Amino acid sequence: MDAPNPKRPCLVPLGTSSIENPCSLPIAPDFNQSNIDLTISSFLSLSDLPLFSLPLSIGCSFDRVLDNVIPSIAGTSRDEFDQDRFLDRTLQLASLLYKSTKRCIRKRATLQNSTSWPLLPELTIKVFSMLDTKSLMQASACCTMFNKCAMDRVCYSHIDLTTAAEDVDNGVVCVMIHRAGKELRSLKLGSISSSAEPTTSLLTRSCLTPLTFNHGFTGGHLRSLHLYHLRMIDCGSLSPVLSACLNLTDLKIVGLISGSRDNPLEQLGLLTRNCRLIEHLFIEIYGAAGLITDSSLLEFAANCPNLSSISLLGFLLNDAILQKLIKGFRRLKHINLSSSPEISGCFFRGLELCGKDSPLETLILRDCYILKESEVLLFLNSLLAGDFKYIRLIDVSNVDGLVCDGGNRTFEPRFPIEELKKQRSNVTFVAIFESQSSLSSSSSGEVYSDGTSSWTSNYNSAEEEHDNDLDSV
Amino acid sequence: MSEGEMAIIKPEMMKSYIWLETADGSIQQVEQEVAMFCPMICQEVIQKGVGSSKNYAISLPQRVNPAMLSLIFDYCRFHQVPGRSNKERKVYDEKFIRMDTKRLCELTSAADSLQLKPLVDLTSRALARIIEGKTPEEIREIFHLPDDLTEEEKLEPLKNTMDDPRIRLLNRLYAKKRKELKEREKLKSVEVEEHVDERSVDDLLSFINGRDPKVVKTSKSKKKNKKRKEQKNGSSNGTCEALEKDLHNLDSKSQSAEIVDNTASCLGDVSNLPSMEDDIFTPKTEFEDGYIDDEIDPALKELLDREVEDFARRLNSSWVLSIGQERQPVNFSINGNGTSRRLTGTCYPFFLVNLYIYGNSVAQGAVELNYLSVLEIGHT
Repeated sequence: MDAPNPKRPCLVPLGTSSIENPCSLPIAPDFNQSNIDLTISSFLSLSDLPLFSLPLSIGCSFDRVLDNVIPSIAGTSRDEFDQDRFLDRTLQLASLLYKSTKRCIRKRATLQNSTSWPLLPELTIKVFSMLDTKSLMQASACCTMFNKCAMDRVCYSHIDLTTAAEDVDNGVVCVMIHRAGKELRSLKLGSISSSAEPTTSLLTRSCLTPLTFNHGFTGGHLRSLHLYHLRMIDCGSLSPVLSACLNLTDLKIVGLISGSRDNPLEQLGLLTRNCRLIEHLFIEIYGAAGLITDSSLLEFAANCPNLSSISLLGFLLNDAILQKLIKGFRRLKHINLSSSPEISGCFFRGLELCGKDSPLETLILRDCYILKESEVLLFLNSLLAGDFKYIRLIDVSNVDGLVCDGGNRTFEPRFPIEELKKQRSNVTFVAIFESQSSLSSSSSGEVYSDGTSSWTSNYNSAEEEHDNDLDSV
Repeated sequence: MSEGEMAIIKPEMMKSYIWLETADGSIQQVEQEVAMFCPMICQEVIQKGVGSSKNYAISLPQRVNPAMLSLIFDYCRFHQVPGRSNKERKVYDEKFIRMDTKRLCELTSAADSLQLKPLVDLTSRALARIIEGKTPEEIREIFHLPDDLTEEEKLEPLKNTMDDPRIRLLNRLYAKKRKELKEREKLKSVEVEEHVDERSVDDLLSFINGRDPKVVKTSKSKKKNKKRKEQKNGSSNGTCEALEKDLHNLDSKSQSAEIVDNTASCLGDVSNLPSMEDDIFTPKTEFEDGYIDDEIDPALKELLDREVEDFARRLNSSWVLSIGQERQPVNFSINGNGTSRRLTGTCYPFFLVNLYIYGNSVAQGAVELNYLSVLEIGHT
């Protein structure tokens, strides 16, 4: 087993020479690359020798060589120092060899994979473009080929980072936007469920600034932007971003912060000033307390002539403003003004004039505290008279009931439901007046659509349904 | 021709076949309507007139093998009949797709080479559905993919490959934009001095010797990684924003400070930092081509600490030389514990830049720099 191997002497001189001449550890200048390669390849081919029980003998050889390093007699400190260096260097060599081998294995695997994978890269990219963002990231962590294909910009055209809200921060958003380039079409950020602690979000106000880079290159391609409960997101931080998104048609912001003195409609106007193509607007604002002026309304209406769906939750709109809003936006089909504490419903009267040809399809006024029963009745009567022929969904649910004529609140308003069912059978009328916890099968809440009665679910999912409605529109 | 002869000829014409030859040499014939459903075959027949007989069979692309061909023709045979309703077609498609993933991939490939777009869409979507919602290990198992990514690459799927020249260009553009944004901010609140060069050397030296900097070390062999930088900014912005509000309240020439921290532990430190004072020299960091490292293991951290001390010493001596120059790569080696490491220019180029000073406590004497952030002077 210990028969000398003609190739082994290559190792030993190196070892002994380094012990004898510790100063020569740094590579000598005339030790050129081919010599090293030869040495290494001859060392590696050691394992080809069949004569020896391979690992055992090589292990023994290693032990023997390294044991030579330990002196039999305690040497000077200088010797110990050199021995330490020698052993460290051996460790280094071993780890370098290990890493190099791993790299080689990986390269080989990549090569094999690229020949055996049946799809062309374009096809792989096409498959990836049908994946949602999270699955795309998972796929990109599989192998180098997937990784490369997942970098293609087509895959990032619809970015949805709401599913991984805890892990997403500004850098991630920036990377994704940058990867999408000119293919970016829609972007969703934030955490949809408001129950999640807002402080756990890592996104800051400036997370959307990559949209403005390069004169708004990516922003200009964006068509749809949904922001859910981003921290401290207000008009000041959003307006530079939105001014770069000239082609935006769908904007949804849940959790917009408004200063107590700012006119929310004016702020809205500022936000949408450059987005003239906008068609769907959904803003849920927190803390709005400012006064709304007519001029801001006019400006807003003038800036967004194509608006077909508007949802302004938490804005302190009153009936007059609402009336002007409906008249100002000619193409308005969907209105959702839930949680507006100043709407009493008398705007319905003003609508009669344009009621005949109004394109209105959806009207949602949930949780409007002072919404009057009489006004809703008036509206329903006008429906029966034939106005609003396009309307499909009306929702006046309210946990606190509607306001009666006497000033009380009623949970069982008298609406002409039966006639409505008969005459306008394709209209869905939602009027749930109890909180979900006390919902029972025969209570006052009623929903009718096509003559059947079924409950609509709670606010959030109704909203989502509404969204789906919009999507299918 | 008489009626009778016409009647005889018609059935023959109705049964016309197209001859196809796959890459492995086998020839088969398919009904014409079925074959013509595939745009590629259609094109060949019309433009080149082949396929009408066995000798002139259309040769199909390599990716189509006989098994796939028969599957494709099943699909075509069903769909080319015009009378089917959409629902029927959908039901058929759903059933058709049920096969193992390998065959599905081959089918996608074959359909693509025959330019049969509806089938390509169908199969691609089926593949996407398979991939959706699975972890990388599961995906690897399903598609028999090798695990050839480094641990690093796996852990950071969002890291950009540095070799892409587009990315480098964009990094520079981002850098410019950030500078512009900051300039605008500065103009609003403060009067500002833009260039490091105009500062005196003494100020900077005193910073190194005496101040209590909470600055961040950037190092690594990776080159500009704007994303990580922004990531850093993002993660520390939470605490910074509160501080920034304090800063803006100060009536002075102090500029708004920005802190970038390496590790999460440092964020705690950042939040404790007091607001700035007038007399402290506070330049702004420009993270032009800063090098930031997210995860530094303890051993590397130690090494970095040592490097930083060494660097600080050299900084003192060589500052006068390097100031005013655009970029100064610094090479140095450290000896410690008997190992010698040579850090070459490609590994650790340091760019001397604006330094961030934060904190109003003036620590006398030499201060141990935990992290040093080294950034770029002037503009790119």
